[in-house]
Amino acid sequence: MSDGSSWRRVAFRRRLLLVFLVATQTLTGLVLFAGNLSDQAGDWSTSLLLIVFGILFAWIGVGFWTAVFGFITLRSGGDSWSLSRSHSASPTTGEPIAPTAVVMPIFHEPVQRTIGGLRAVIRDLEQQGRADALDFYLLSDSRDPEIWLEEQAACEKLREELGSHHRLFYRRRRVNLNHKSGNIADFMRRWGRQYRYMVVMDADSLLSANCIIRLITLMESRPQAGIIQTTPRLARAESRFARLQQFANRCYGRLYSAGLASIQLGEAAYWGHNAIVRVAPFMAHCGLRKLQGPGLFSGPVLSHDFIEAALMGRAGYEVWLEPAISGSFEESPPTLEDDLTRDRRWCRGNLQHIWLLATLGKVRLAHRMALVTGILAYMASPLWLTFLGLSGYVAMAGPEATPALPGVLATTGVSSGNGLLLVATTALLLFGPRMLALADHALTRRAKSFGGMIRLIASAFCETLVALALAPIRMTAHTLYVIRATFNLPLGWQGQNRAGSTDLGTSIRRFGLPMVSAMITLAMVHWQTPALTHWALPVALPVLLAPVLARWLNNRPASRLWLQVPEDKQPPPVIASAGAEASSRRQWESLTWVEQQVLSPAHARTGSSSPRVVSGKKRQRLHQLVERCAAYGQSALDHGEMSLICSHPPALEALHLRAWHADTGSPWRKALDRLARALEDHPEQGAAPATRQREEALWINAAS
Amino acid sequence: MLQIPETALVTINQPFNQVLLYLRAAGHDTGAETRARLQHFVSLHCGRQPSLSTRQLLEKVPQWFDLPDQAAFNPLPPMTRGSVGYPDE
Repeated sequence: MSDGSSWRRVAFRRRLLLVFLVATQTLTGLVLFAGNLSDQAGDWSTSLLLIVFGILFAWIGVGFWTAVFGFITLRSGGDSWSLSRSHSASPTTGEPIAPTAVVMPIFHEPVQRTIGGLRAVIRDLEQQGRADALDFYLLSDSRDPEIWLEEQAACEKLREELGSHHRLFYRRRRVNLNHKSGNIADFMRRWGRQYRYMVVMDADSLLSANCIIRLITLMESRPQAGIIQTTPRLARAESRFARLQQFANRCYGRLYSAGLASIQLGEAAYWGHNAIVRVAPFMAHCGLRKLQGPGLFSGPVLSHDFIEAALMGRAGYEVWLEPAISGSFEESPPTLEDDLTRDRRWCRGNLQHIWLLATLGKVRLAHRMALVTGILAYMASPLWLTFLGLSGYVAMAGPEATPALPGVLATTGVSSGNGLLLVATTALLLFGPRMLALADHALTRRAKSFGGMIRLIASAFCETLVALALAPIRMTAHTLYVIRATFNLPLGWQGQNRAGSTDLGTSIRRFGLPMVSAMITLAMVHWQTPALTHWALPVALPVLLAPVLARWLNNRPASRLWLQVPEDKQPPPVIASAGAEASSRRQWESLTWVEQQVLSPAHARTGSSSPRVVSGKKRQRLHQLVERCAAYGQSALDHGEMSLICSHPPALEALHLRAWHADTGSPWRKALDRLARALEDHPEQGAAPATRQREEALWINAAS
Repeated sequence: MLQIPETALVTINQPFNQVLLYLRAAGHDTGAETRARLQHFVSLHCGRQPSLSTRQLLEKVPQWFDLPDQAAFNPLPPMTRGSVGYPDE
């Protein structure tokens, strides 16, 4: 059905319809809104209010109509123009598959959980008899030696466990240029030419064997496809916050993704993971230079995936979003704070796209619109705040302050027909997608997998209430992020906390500024116009209670079935298998990973292996580092210095010998004492014994 | 092979203990036979060099005992250098 580029005509018609619907709805909203505005506020404020209202109304309209498109697509049995519908065949077992690398870039992730996930993916492929056909790369950007040494050991253990026939590789970059996109680019420069395709996973990604094979098959059947993106379902959620995100993703997400896919067709976005990439054109066209603009628009591109999709499209390749491919999973950030931390990075990255929109030529319109959508996702927050401020100002200037929709509209009375219609339309745009999703589940009889229709409705009600409470918190946080990004204030680039748990103190520190702002605003509104207090309260109150709400959300619910999703009762094999995490703990638990690396003869002795020869300044520096570490212990060196020693065998061996005859009371002597106790308590914790025969030969030689 | 009963092993000085700990950390057995061998080597070297340090002993250990091989990490596949193309803005 979707041969050649005939899908472009269909996509054009669908996008035109979307524009028409959003424009009509926005114009109607503007007329209704303008009719209720007070004239006393002055021209500038009402004009500005109308502009901001128009943008926000259009913004929520895009979300609503996308969900409507999705609903119609799903109710009509799927999109006949999608790749997965037009290329249905999968290769039979045993049929050779194209050379493909599965890459997982990581940066300071929970090691055991990450490796457990990768193991589950490989095991699933193994059961399908496909694991041998793929190469797996764990691409680490971790800088803390306590983490990367654990990664290295866990990867090695996994390789031993799986068998040597599996091609699993661990690669750590010593220079972390350009974050994740730089890590992928580094992989492609070294090994990219060996592969036709690259399946990209995140540290929390899980892909079933069927999903990976299906992606490769689709790529083979569609040479014009440069990237195929799956729509990952959230899974393995444990905290209340993660379960809320998981439920929303599972219950409403399918509508949005089906709608988005039907509008974008072959000009979809790339989300950076749970996708397959055609390596050759990606290498040829999707390199990302550092930005050369002022302030925020300088340095590495932080949100690389949308740009890579745009570059792939510009090079003439298609980018498809395929929601019908199942078996693709990822995890939600476990806490609200982690979610906001991720948003802080994404916000900055998405705002950088303003520069690329202005400077990058020949990008297709659909990809430009995707970039604009990404920017608006964060700009909507300061716009909403502006709208609330202006709305309050105009309402105060009017004859009587009677808010129509607490937290939303301060200027429109529900007493008039127009006002009532506007309120009803706004509510429909905001909550319509949720109702459509519930209707879809009811019509397809899938409510049972959510625990039954009553439980599904109750879960959706609960999720909606929390989402309403979180909206002002996100709004204030995103506004601050936009301000910080605009002034190019520094941003720490850290890996995500996928394991969860934050304390109340951290929450209060995180939300301190929004809380103070909300308190002052609420006090001013109440002092100036008491009638507007209950309009401001739904926005101000959740922000004031943010630390308490965050703490409640960050904890685990009493029941595993709270906000039940289908995977809770029947987890797919890849999820069930990932649950049994790898257990490559340290050999000696009382020692740190670095201490173990330095003290273990098996790790630190270079033996017969030929050491890399260094000379000059590097040699001198390594010598100084070894001396300092030998004298003052691990804590005397920073992550980079310690990593340098640990990744340089002769330096490690020199430190090893120094540490083993450290003076009494020194850090290494204390570590040796702990090692001695560990070996006393657990004699089996020594390394594997040498062969008897070789031992005897040595003994005879030495004795004679 | 020498057969020396464990009760005959009397030298419990610091370098000796350190080497024993080293052998255990390396996964080598530290039973009577190993102790006897170590005792023999230490005596041999002490005869030549009375003030033998732990470091000197540790450096000799790989020659005296067959320690397990160095932990070998999976090497990366051979590189096939390629280049990444950048868009002309």
